[in-house]
Amino acid sequence: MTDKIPSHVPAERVVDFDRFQGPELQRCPHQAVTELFRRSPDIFYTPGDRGHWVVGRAAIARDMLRQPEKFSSDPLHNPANARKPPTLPNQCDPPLHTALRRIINPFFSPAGVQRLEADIRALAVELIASVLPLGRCEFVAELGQRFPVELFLRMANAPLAHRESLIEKVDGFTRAPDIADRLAALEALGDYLKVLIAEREQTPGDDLVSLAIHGKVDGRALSADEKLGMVTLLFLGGLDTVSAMLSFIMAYLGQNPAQYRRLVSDPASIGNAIEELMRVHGVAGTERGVTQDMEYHGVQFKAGDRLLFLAHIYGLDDQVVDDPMLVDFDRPVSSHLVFGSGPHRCVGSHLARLEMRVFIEEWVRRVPQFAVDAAGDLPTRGGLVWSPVAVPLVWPVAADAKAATIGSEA
Amino acid sequence: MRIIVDRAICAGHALCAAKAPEVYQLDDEGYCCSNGVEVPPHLHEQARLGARHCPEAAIVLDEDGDAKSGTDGC
Repeated sequence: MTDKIPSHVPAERVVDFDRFQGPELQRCPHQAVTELFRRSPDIFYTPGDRGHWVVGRAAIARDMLRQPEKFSSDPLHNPANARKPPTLPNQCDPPLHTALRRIINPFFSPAGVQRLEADIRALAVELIASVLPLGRCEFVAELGQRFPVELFLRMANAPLAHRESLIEKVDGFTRAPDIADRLAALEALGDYLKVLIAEREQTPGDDLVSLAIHGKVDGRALSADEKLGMVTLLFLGGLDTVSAMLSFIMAYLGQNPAQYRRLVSDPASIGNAIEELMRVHGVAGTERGVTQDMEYHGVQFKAGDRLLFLAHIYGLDDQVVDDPMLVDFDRPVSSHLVFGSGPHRCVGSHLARLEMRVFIEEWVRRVPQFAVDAAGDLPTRGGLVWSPVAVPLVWPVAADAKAATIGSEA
Repeated sequence: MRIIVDRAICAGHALCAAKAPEVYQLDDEGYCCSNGVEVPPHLHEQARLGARHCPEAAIVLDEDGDAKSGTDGC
């Protein structure tokens, strides 16, 4: 292990943490990783996943993520994170980042995603109806993935028939423990998207892919790599993250019936409740590379050092949130950074919030009570995006209630 | 009371406008564009609520209302 530790890293800052296969990620990862951080330095170095620093505190992360000139998103300063295709605009810094974000910001702004609400609600209703009479479902595969993925494929105007193979490629990139497997999955996704991009160059539509590839940077068209990078990141974001977070949240609500009953009796509280549920169920983090030798927060960094920001758990930082493990829908502020911080704040954050709110609104209207059909803590998976493996849910279905429900959907 | 938004720090989380829609406005890209705006007394509490929710702490409320920065509006 020690032979993988660079000479400028002091022994007291070395902590073993493997973001893909660590034991903390197998069950209740938010709690387990938070506990690891509480007994570790605020910034530590792990030999896991080819070696990198990990930033465990929200305030430090927010400060660092605001300084792209020191902590860069460009793989030039973080070669371990280089990808082909690149993903953009998350793997570049301002000013190029700002220009690329401008192309898609209006689509994903709060007003932009509001236009999608009716379609989102219709799909939520349709998918819930497909499992409701059964009295059970495996939430991750049957609803958690289908809902955001089908919405995204409609936005991108990509065939729904490609859903499973796309999910497999994205899953390979985000969760395969071996870097070679991850990069192969990303390359396969890139090959698929090249064909889609070529189609949209020939025949542009009003879809998200057409919007992204026909955008301009300082008056010029995007290069082929930039187009592919933009579309690749849209697919990675659109196919995995909401699915993972909604699955965590539904598992929590199934295991906490008193809090779920409150949402059923007071649906207006769902928005605040989701903010609090997101705080404790972050699914994604981000990386940066150090641009120059420097000391920061008492740590000596070398140019090219790799930094991992575990935004998953910044909402559980006891320096920011009182009694952070307590899920309290009445907190004045549910402070978290699950969508990141600084200029690279997740562009899909408003869409993610809307999808989860609408889904839970429609779920509480139809399912007055439900439970997780498994004893103990559910198995989870680490990787670039954390997720439950499976969330088996059950709810009571009376024969007449079944008929009435089917009738009401007609 | 006057709103001071550090637009270099605002990252477009848009929680200000979600929590206090009568106070905070967003531009076409979803970033807060209420820098320099005067808040009438009946909206002071809402303005504080929105500022408190900013994950970047990009909003400061000048309670005396004589902020130097001008309005750069939406």
